[in-house]
Amino acid sequence: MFFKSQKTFHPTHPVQKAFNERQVDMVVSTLCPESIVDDEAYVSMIFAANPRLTVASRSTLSRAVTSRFKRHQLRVRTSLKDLDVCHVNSDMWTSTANDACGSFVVSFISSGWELETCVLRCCIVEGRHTALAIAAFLLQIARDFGLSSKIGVVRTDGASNCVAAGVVLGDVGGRQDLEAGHVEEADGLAMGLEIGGDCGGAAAVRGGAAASAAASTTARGSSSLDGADAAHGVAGGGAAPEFDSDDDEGGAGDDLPDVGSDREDGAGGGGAAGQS
Amino acid sequence: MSTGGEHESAAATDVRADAFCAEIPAALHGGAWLAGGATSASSLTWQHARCATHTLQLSVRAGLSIPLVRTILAKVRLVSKLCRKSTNFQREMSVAVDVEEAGAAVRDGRERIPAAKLVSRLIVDCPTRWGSTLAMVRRFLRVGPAVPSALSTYYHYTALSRGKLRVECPNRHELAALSEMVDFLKLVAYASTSIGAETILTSTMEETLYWYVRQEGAPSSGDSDALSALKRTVLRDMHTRREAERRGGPNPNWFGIRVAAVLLNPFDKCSSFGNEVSTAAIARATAFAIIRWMMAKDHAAGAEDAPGLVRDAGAPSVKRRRTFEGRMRSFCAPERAAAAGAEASGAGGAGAGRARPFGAGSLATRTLEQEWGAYLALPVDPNSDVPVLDWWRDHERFFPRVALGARYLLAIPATSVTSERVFSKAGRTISNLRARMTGPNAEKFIVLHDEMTRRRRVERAQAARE
Repeated sequence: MFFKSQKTFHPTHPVQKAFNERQVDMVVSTLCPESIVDDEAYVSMIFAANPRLTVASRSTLSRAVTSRFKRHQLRVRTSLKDLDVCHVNSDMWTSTANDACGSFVVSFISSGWELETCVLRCCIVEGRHTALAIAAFLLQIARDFGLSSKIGVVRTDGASNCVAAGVVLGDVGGRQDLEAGHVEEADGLAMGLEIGGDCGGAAAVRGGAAASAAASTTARGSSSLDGADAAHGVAGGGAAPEFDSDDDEGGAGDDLPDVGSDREDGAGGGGAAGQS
Repeated sequence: MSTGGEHESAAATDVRADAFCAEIPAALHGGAWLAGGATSASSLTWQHARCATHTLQLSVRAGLSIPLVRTILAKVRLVSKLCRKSTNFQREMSVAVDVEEAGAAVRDGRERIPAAKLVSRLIVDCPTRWGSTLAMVRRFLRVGPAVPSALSTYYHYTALSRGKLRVECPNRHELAALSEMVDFLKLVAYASTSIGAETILTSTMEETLYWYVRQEGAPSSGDSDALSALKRTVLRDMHTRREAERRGGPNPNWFGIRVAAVLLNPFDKCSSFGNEVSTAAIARATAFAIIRWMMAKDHAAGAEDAPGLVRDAGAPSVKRRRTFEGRMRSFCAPERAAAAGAEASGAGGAGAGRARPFGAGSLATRTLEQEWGAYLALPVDPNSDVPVLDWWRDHERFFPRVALGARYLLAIPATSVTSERVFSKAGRTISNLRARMTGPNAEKFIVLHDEMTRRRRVERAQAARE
């Protein structure tokens, strides 16, 4: 080939190494396909800039992306280890390839009082997006990252399956707290609810009843059948519709998956400035 | 932990995500977690909450669908659709806008804007997104005066085929009502944008936004029928949704957390929640519960050394733009001052905290209640532009226990917008052309891209600070 006539950099040469990093940066930043490194125009552009550089192959590039991803995850893990509490927001989405994805984004306040947000996972959730599937998805990731007992609030959209998942998660959280022996605080919170009870104590009781009803439904299912499929079947057939009918507004947000427009055209320049 | 162990755990995440169903956490199996079912009302972990933006959008859409407003919007939409469909009408529009501009330029005695720079195309909205409806109406109002003449010229030259309706322009009253409605919707849109931001604290906004919209958007006597109907519907809907949460909602704990967050914002700490006594009590009780819970966690971890580690604030002296946050601060100001006095006198033993600014001197011995009282009694300047987190960085050493609560409550995101953004990224990664991109592969790109944009934003912010 025409540029082989000149001596290329050794792979460990600092210039070449810096270039490799930049290449990964570019692919990640522009989200362009990795196949760009096979493109003649791209290769000739690099050659024009510095004939001694070697463009990585596709497989090398994807290996580099993988190793960077692993490094990033390790870093995140260590930074999450010292945390007391963090909060999650999550959503479900279906890609054009028909893969159902779930996201898991944590936000927390670092020791230096900075608000930090970080996408931990964005991965495929198999099966139907039932309440139990969503709850299991969230619990699983939290356990992976050692956050099981550190998650404070889970924020999702108002879809009925997410709301039902919230009830399941609340139960799991309650059990965790019970095991950890944080019972006295529990009294404090219960007291708070009693104070508020003058306006709607009955409703609060109703909420509790609904929770335990759902719990018993799911429990029956998973004891008679076993495994994940059973849980799915039950959640799809029993728990989710029950919540649909129980909650008067929970499902209303379901058909409005995107709030993007609020951001984009809402307040024009002023709004955009507020974010950046 | 050894490095080997860390590598192992990193490898664990590489397991295909779809395998997780096979190993749903033990907690979900065998109904063991049922034992805790009764205690669900007392937990502070895994509390579910709904996205505030989604909820707000439901309220606004309820308002936009009342007949009075809907008929006006339908007219605007028809004209806009005609503009998108018919090149003839588009041409008429650009001519009419140009003529209109010529008249306006003469009237105001200014230079005329060249025709190429004038906007004459209308936007059609997407009915599920109220933001786009607002954009449609704003664009319509911008070119509004030109529409009637453009329509009449268009229909002068165009024969209507049978069955086709003649598109009507909203009349003068309706246009006036529209421009009033835009002002109200802009207010809500601005609030909605702020609450979806990632870089500022949003947890306290969910509650303050409610009061803000309620006050600023309250129906006044000068409103047209359509506007006051719109305002009433939106506010009633917001109220109903908040009431549902207050009465237990799907998650009985949530309302407490929602209102407690407001107290931990030093600039809103004396909010009276519209004089709802029970709400204030819930907020206080929940804040205490959370602080105790965090203290217990801290004890368990044992890692927390003296809570005096205070980094230098770094003094970001740049003039910050007045954000929604700032606006709400000044909006809450008068009642805060009044409430501060009431609170301080009611706080009993903590009242002494007012004489000595931080209740200092008794740092080690005072109870949590005293510390809380001192925190509430500490005067703050409602007009200061100090970000909440900077305030807490400076004051953590004075209120170490309350600060723990702030760490919990202030970090809560008010919306799930971050997740939505992740998926907008995912949509670009897994595009039609790359549909064979599988989940784990796409995940790497999405996570890394997100990390990169955040890092860049931080670097930009630092550069701006220097």
